[in-house]
Amino acid sequence: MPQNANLSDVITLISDIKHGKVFSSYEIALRTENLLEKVISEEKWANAKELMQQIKGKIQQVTQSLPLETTATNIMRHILKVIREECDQVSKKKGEGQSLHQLVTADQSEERDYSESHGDLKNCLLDHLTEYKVELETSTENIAAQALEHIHTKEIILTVGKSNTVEKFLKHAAGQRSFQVIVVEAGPLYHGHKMAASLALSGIQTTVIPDSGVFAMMSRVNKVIIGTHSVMADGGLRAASGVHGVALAAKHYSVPVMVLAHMYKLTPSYVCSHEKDTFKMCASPANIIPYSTGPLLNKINVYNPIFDYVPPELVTLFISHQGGNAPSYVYRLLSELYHPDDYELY
Amino acid sequence: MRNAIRVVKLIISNVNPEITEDQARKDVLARIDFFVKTRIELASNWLLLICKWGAFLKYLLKGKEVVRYVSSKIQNGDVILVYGWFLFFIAVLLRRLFSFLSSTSVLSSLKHSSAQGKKFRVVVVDSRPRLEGKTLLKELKNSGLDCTYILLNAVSYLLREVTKVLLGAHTFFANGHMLARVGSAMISLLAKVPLTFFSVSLPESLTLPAQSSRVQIDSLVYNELINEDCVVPISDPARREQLSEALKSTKKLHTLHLLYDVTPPELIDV
Repeated sequence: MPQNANLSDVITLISDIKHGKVFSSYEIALRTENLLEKVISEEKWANAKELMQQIKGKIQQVTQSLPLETTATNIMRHILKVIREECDQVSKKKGEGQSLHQLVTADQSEERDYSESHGDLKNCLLDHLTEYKVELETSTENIAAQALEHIHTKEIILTVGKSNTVEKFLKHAAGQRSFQVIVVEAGPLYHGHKMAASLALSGIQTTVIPDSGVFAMMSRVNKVIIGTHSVMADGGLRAASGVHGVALAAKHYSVPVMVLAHMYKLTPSYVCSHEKDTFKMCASPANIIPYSTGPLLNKINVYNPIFDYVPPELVTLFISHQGGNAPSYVYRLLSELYHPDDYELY
Repeated sequence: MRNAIRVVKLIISNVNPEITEDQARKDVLARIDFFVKTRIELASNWLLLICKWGAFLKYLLKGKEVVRYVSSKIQNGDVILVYGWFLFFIAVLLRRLFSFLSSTSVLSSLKHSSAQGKKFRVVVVDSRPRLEGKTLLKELKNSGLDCTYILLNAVSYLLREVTKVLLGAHTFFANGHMLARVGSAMISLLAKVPLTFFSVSLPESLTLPAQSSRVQIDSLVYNELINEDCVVPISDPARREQLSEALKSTKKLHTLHLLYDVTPPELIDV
């Protein structure tokens, strides 16, 4: 059955994410990209409309099983936009690109019917995907290359927990500038220790502080540079738990907060910040209070949330491989990445 | 620390000029020992205290007032977030030894309220260098209160439910800034994000006076470092080794464990 066969690869991806075999967003992005290549080259589809239906089905599957895992769905949404663009170009309806006049006078009710079949579509899409893959693989280096524009000598930079992007960013800058880094431990998993060890071993002066010491140290910090899990449509962040406190402390002392985010982290959904159920994902409380504590555990509640929502007014700059952007510009980036019809697919 | 030095200076200045130097030295040492025993080792020398330091009674009474005031603020259905009771251990010991003194410990304000039949929940926040919240958690549980335990990173997540925040303060400076356990400033800041109604800071009125004539705005200028032995190791043995190995292998890596931080007055309500 074609329907089941289509979804089996997505189901494999979902189960790998759930079991922790695929952990970082970068790996998820690569896996999704491979998945899409297979769909486009091997699956049977007659025209663009059918292909888009297939991909939309996959997006729905992922959204239902992993509502907070947005990397995969974002990449698939981007491909949908690429497909639509390809169709538009090939059909020559708007062959020379949209002039302002056409944009303004375009008929709202005009439905693009993507059901024409084009022989060339497959090859065009595969070319696009190869380009996109190269872009994915080099995006971390491109972000790191901007480090020298943002880090000055003798600055004190604060970062939270462990992020591969931030690590490369700081190491790249350390090649030419000398600065200090303060790493916040980020309980309960204390990834900050690994980050600090890695930075120190590559020659950067590093200090590790516990989560509680952030406010005390913030008055001495020049910049806060953090990574994030995803960027919401309003410019807010869904970041690791504890980052909200750090961002508030930075705002209090007027320290700029720079967020390093790849383009696939931009997600077209909003967060109602007073609905804490939106961030219902919690991890095992054993990291907070070990099971060996004994009978006391029967009577208390322990929470271990994974994510935190950081409102956009606390973020100063987003740095992606294309350059830096203000949080208020995120809506424009979204319109370049995804088609408005694909924002809500559930 | 400052107060101890002040007392020593006072003792030395009060020495009788007519006695010999040796005797004066012995006298000063004896008084210092006495000070240590009575002011610092309260729990074991409580009786001596009552006889010799009338001022201590004043502290007790103040403590009772504080407890009554805080209890009056706690209402039915409240969710209270607590953080940082480092002098609490002394209070607990006192309470254990002399039960009629129970109203002096700040913990008792919560017990007092629950004794009055008010139904409320307590959220205990803990943070890593010392993880002192666990003892508080056990005490609260033994008194039958409904408790939740979280680490500092989860405060933003739970703060939506919380109605009041109780922080244990160490000192209040003359400019209104509060010296408290490291992390208290962060909690006050988060509580100010408009969703919580009330932020209450309670001074510990037992061993040290709650007011200081000094002024301080910055947490780093005057602080204490936690002894490395007191730092609680991470429970997961695999991760524990990461940092200690790295610390040994390179000079570029340091840890910094502060004991206090300073909270500006605009973040405190009461």
